[in-house]
Amino acid sequence: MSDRVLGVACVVVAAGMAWAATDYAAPISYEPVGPRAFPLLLATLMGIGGLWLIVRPSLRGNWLRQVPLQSLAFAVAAVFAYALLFETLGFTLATTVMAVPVGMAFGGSWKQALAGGLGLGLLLFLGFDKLLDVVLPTGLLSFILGGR
Amino acid sequence: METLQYLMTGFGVALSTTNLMVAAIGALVGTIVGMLPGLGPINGVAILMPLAFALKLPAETALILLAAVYMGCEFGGRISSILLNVPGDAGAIMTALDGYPMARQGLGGVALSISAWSSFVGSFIATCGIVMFAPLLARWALAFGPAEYFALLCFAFACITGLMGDAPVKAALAAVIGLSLASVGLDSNSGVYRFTGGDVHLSDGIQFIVLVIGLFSISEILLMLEQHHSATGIIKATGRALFNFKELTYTWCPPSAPRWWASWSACCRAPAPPSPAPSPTPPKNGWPARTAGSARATSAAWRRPRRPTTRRRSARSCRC
Repeated sequence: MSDRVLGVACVVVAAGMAWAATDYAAPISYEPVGPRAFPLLLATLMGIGGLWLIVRPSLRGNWLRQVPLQSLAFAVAAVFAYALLFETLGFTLATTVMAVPVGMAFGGSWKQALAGGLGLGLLLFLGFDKLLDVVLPTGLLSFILGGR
Repeated sequence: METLQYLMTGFGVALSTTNLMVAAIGALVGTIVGMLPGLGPINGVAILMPLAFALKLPAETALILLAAVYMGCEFGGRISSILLNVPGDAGAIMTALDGYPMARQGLGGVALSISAWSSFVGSFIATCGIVMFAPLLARWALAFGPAEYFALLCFAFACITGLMGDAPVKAALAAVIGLSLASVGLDSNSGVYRFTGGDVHLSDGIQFIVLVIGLFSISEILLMLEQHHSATGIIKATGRALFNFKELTYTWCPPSAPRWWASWSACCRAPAPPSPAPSPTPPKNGWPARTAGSARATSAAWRRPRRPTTRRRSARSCRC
């Protein structure tokens, strides 16, 4: 069953790739194939692979049997929100905000998750930014942590 | 040969006490920095280069420090890949495939020590190889043209499908997905932006290390949520931290490959010195234990794909 879902996703992505790739044209080109050949080839191969998986899935499919869908959805949403809010909130706040749903999905209370996320965010920020001189966005906390 | 003469001079400089201590400290710091997922050896050296300037060391000591940091970072990536299944850099991906199942069975210390030992042996052989074969390799590298690169790519994709012997269609699909992700960005031949959606940040493509860490760590989080519902108790503390000789021989020849066993044990039965030759029979309790989750806990690079034993296969039971 999970193979079938993967197959459908691959077919959809391949269709999207092919639709986007047909627009690519090089204005001046002295090559027989342009920029659209390789993505179209990959889209074809992905579509064929996806169709194969839909028609002949493997035996191991215990999808949806005991999967905690709610906590999985929370974790995935938290990861997406982390990526989107990273620049605006800054590293520390974004890590704290992400740690709460993910920590609760793993069975912790929200206080534990909040404390852990805050500690992790601060420690990692100080370690990377001050110690190792790797630039991390400070975001909303720029008045405390110092930054542009 | 003047190479050997220069080498002797170099050894004379490198084996002084200060330089040896600096090398040890550099290796330790490099291991710690390399342990962080995402900081590979190149990033580690770049980050720690101000250290060499700030300490105002003489030139050769600074170079020894940075080289030791490089080696330490190479090894440090294995720690996170064995214990967390999150490869620190591109070179640690294969270690995660073998080392993480070992860590889950309580053999994490053994995996780490085997990784350290093989890292040492490998880099030693590589350094000797570079010293001896550098001019020849330079000539070969110049002769490596587009046709050879293409042949190398075909070989790589054939290896991918060969590694996942019981699901070759999925392996080929994974290779195609990887190639599609790599085609994001600027096309070098025609200058056309592919799949960037007008975003300027994607014009250089998706960075490989970001992809690797994202794929491995997020999938590890989701797998942990699915199967264990908690993150505790997955890696058992192990009583044994050092590998024994039998496990060392398994890095040369895994116990699950009968044909390799037969040919290699034939070589072992040749007149051998009194050192204990490993017995050609598989161990009694089987290393590693063949549980359902640890199907790939041997040196999977040499494992031949298992064929189903029955000839009659219905369409539903096709595992592809």
